[in-house]
Amino acid sequence: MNRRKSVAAVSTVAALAMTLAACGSSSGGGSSSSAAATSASASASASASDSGGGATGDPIVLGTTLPLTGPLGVFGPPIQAGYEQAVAAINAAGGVDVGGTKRPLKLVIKDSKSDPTVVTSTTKSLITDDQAVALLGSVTPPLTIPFSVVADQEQIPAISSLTPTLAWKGASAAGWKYAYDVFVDEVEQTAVNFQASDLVENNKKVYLFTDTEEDGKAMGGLWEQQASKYGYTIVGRSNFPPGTTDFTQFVQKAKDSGADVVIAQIIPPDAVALWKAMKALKYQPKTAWPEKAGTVGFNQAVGPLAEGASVFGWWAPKNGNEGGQAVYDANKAQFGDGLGTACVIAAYAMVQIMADAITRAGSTEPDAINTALAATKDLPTVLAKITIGPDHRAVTPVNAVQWQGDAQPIVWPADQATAKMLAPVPGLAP
Amino acid sequence: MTAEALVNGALLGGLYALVALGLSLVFGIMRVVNLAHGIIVIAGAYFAIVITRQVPVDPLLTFLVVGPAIFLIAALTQRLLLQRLIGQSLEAPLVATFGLLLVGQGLFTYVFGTSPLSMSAPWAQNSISVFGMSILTVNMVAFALAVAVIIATQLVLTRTRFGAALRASASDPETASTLGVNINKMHALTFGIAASIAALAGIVYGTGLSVNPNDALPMLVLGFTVVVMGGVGNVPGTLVGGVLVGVVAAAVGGLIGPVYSPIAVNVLLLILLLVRPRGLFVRTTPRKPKTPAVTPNAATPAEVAA
Amino acid sequence: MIGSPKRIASGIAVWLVILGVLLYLPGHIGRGPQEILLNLLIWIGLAQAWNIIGGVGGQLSLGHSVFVGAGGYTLAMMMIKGGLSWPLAVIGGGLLSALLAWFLALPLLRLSGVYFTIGTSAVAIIALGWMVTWDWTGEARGLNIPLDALPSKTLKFQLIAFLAVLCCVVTYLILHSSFGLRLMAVRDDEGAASALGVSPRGVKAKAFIVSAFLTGLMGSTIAINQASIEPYSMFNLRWTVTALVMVIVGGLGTVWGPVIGAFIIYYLVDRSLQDQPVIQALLSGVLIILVISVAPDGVVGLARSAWAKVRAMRDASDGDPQEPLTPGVVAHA
Repeated sequence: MNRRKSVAAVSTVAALAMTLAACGSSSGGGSSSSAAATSASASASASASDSGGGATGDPIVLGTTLPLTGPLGVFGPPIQAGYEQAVAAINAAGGVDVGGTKRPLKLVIKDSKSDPTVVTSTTKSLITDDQAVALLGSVTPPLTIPFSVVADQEQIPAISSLTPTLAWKGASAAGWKYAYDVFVDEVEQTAVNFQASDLVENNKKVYLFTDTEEDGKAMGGLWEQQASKYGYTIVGRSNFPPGTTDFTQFVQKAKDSGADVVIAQIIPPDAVALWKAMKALKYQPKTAWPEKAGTVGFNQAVGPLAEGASVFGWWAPKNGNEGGQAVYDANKAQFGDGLGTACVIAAYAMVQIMADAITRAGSTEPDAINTALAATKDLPTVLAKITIGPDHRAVTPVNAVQWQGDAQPIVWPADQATAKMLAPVPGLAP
Repeated sequence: MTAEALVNGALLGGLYALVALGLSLVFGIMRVVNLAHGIIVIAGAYFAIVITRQVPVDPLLTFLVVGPAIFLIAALTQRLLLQRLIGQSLEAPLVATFGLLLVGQGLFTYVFGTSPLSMSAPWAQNSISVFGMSILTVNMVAFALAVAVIIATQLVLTRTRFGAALRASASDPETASTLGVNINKMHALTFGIAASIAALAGIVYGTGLSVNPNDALPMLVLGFTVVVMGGVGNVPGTLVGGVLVGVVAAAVGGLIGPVYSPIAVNVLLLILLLVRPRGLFVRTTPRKPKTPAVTPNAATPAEVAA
Repeated sequence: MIGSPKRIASGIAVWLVILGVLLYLPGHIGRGPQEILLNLLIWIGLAQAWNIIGGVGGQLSLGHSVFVGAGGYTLAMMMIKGGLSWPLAVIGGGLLSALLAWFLALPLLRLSGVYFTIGTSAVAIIALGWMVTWDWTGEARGLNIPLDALPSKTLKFQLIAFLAVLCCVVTYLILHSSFGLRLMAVRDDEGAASALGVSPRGVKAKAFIVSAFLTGLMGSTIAINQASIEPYSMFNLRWTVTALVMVIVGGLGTVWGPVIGAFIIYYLVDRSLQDQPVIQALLSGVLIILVISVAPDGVVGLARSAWAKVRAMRDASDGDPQEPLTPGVVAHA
C-alpha cells in the first residue's frame, strides 16, 4: 500500500509540474499561447471564412461570447452560425474596406455558459487576450447587460441583438457609450399578442403566467398596461419562481376565469409543465403564447402539444430586409423553419452593421468605429433596415409566429403572413 | 386555495418522494452524499426518450430496459470509483460525485442539447373527476408508483436476509464484515438499486414534466429537502417528506402566491431541522439525540446536534 | 500547534512578500494575464474564506452564496442609493455579511454534519427566493453601479489582491492560534472538546462569522468587477459549490489547499478548457474525479504524506509528520 501511495504521489507531482510548466510558458508575454490556442480553434471553426478572395491586410478581430452551454444553450449555435456565415461571406467578397485596404474579418468565439459572471470575464479576455477591436453580443438582458458593461468600461464598440431593447436601455442610467442593441421594442412586442389574437374570434379576456425573472416582471407589466388600449382585459395574473412544477390550481383559475387568451412569460421547463397541465385539465384557449419558452425547440419539448402555440417573431421575408431570405433558406434545414433560423439572421446582421461601421470609420480604432456605429442610418441588412438612434438602440419590426407542425410560419401582420392562424389552439384540444 | 389544489400537490409529492428515495438509501446505507443523484434521475429520462423515439411504447415500459441499464452503470461506478474513496475521507466521495454530475451534464448537453425534452403518454395528458375535483392522472400514477416502490423497499429492508445484511453494513460495517457480509458488494447493490429507482423517477418526471441537463442541481436540492423532511434513511418518511413539499407549495402558492412557495418550503425545512433533526415522525430522545448522519470515523465533523 | 511568535512572523512575512509582488504586477504584466490572475485571486479569496468554516471548522456550509450576494448587494446599494465611495462600501459588504452570519449562526450551528450542510443550503435558497422579489434591490433586474464611481483597473486588481491575501493570512493566523486549536478540536471530536471546557457552538460561531465577513468582502469585489449584478448570479449556489470543490481538491483546513485548489479548478480545469465549450463540463468532471482519486485528502494532503515518507526514508528520525508544511515545501510540490 505504501508503495502504491508513493507511486501515486510521484505521478501527481510530476503531472502538476508538467502542467505548471505548460502554464508558465502560456502566460508570458502579450500574445500568450493561450490566446493563440483560442484564435487557432476559432479560425478552425470559421475556416471557411479565411479562404476568402483577395483580402490583404491584417485580419480584423471580432470577439463574441455565446451561451453554448447552460440554460440558454439553445441560442448559442444559431448565433454562432450567423456570425460565422456573415464573416465568411464578407471575406469571400474580399474583406472589409478599411481606408482603401481590404482586410479580412476574424471571429473569436468563447462560451459564456449562460452565466453573467462568465460573460464578464470572457468578454474581457476577448479584448485583452485576443485583441478584439469590436464585440458581438449574444441573447437576453441578463447576458447582454454585463457584456455591454465591459464594452463601456473597456471602450470597445459592441453590438447585440436578440435582447429586448427597453430592458437593455434601462440598465444604464447614464446611457450606453460603446454598446448598441438592435432588436424589438418591448412596447411593440407586447402589443403583438393582442393584435394577433384579434385574428380570431375571442372574448378579449387574458390570463397572464409570468415568472420572477427580469423579463417576466417587465413584460407582465407591459401587458397589463397595454391590454385596454387594444380592447382586452387581464382577468388574472400569476407570478412564479423559475422551477415551478405544479401549475394545476393556476390553470384551473385561468380556466374558471374564462380567458380565451393565455400569455406566459416563463422559462422553457416551466412552460412545458404549464402546457401539460393545461392539456390535462382540458383548458383550450383560443390563442396561447409561451413567450421565451416557445421561441426555439418547443415542438421537441412538448411534442404534439406544441401545435398552435404562438410567440412574437422578429424577422419576416417582407419586413424590408435585403438578402434575408437567402440566409433563411440556407439555414432552415439545420435550425428549423422558424425562429431558430431567425436567430441566425439577427446574428448575421450584426456582422453586417459592424463591417459597415468599420468601413465608414476608415480605421479599426475603437473610438472611430464607435462614432461610425452611432451614425448608422438606413443600412440594409438581412434582418431589416437599420437606423441606430441616439439611445444606441435600433428598433426592428415585430410579428407573430405560430407552431404548425415543426415550422413556425408568420401569422401576423396580415401583409407579411405566410400562414393562417390556427384557433383554438389545436395542441391543447381535450 | 382549494381542496383540489392540495390533493394535486399531495399526489405530485409522490413524484418528489420517488426522486428522493435513492438519495436517502445511498446516504442511509453508504453514508455518501451523492451529488450526482439529480443527473441519474435525468439520465433515466433521457434513456427512456431515446427508446420511445425508436419504438413508440409507453414511457413506463421502457423501465424494463432503462432500470437494469442504469443499475449496471451505477453499480460499476460504485465498484470502480467510489469504493476506493469511501472511508478515506467524508469529502472525497462528495467531490467525486460532483465530478460525475459534471460528466453527466456535459454528456447530455452534448447529445441532447440544453432545451427541455419530454415524452408523451395518455396518462400524462388527462385528469379525472373525483368528488368534483379534477385530479391529474399523472399525479395519481406518480403517487401510486411511489407508494409501491417505497413499500417494496421497506419490505426488502426489514423482511429479507439481504435487507438485514444491508442494514447491518450500514449500522456497523466492521461487525457485519466479520460476520461474512461483503460490504463492497452491499454498497454496489445499494448504489445500483438507488440509481434505478432514480431512473424510474426520471421516466415519470420526463413524461409528466420535462428534463434538461441543467435541472440536475435543482433536482438534487429537491431530493435533499424531501429526504430531510422525511428523516434521513427513513424509507416511508420519504413519502411523508414528498407529500409535505407538494402540499406546502400548493397551499402557499394558493394563499400567498407561488413566488413564496420555495421560500416557505425551505423555511419549513429549516424549522424541521431544528426541532426534529431526524425527521418528522421519528421519536427522538429529548436531549442530545445521536444522529445517524455522520461518518463513523471519529476524525470527521462531530455529530451531536445539541 | 501554536507557532512561536517568530515563526508566525516569518509565515506572515511570506504572505507580505506575495502581496508586495501582486501589488506591483498591474502595468508590469499583460492585460490578459492580469485578468486571469484577478479572477484567480477572487476564487482564492472565496475558497480560503470558505475554508475557515468548512475546512478548519469542519462545517461544510452550502450557504456562503448568501454572503457573496449580501456583500455584492450591500456594496451596490451603498454606492447607488447611499452615494458612498467604494472603499466604504466594500467594508460595508463585509460587515453586513458578518452581521447576517451572526444571526444565522444561532439556528444553523445547532445543526451539525450533513444537517448543517442542508440547513445552510435551505438558507441560500430562501435568500435567492427573497432577493428576486425584493423591490428595493431591483428584484430580478438587479442593480447597475455607475462605471465612473468604480475604482480604476489597477486599483481594483490591488484591492482584490489585498483581500485575497488577507483571507490567506487570516486562515494562517487562525491555524496557528489557540482559537484555531479549539476550533480543530471541536471539528475532530466535539464531545471531547466540550469536556475540556471548549464551547463548541461558540468557536464555530466565531469561525462562521469570520468566514462570512471575508466572503462578504470578496462578494463586494465581485460586484465591483461585474458593475451590473442580479440575484440569480450573485446568490447562485454555484459560488459555494465551486469553492467547496476547490478547497477539498486542494486540501481541507490548510492554508495552501484553497490556493492550489483554486488554481487547479479555475485555471487548469475551467480556464484552459474554455475553447472546448461543449465537452468542457465533461472534461472538468473527469479531471476532478482523477484529482480526487489520486489525492483523496487533497493535493496538500498528498504532498504531506509524500514529504513525511521522504523524511522518514532520509533519516528515520522522530520528525512529526503532522507538522504543517512550510510554504516553500508546497511550492516545491
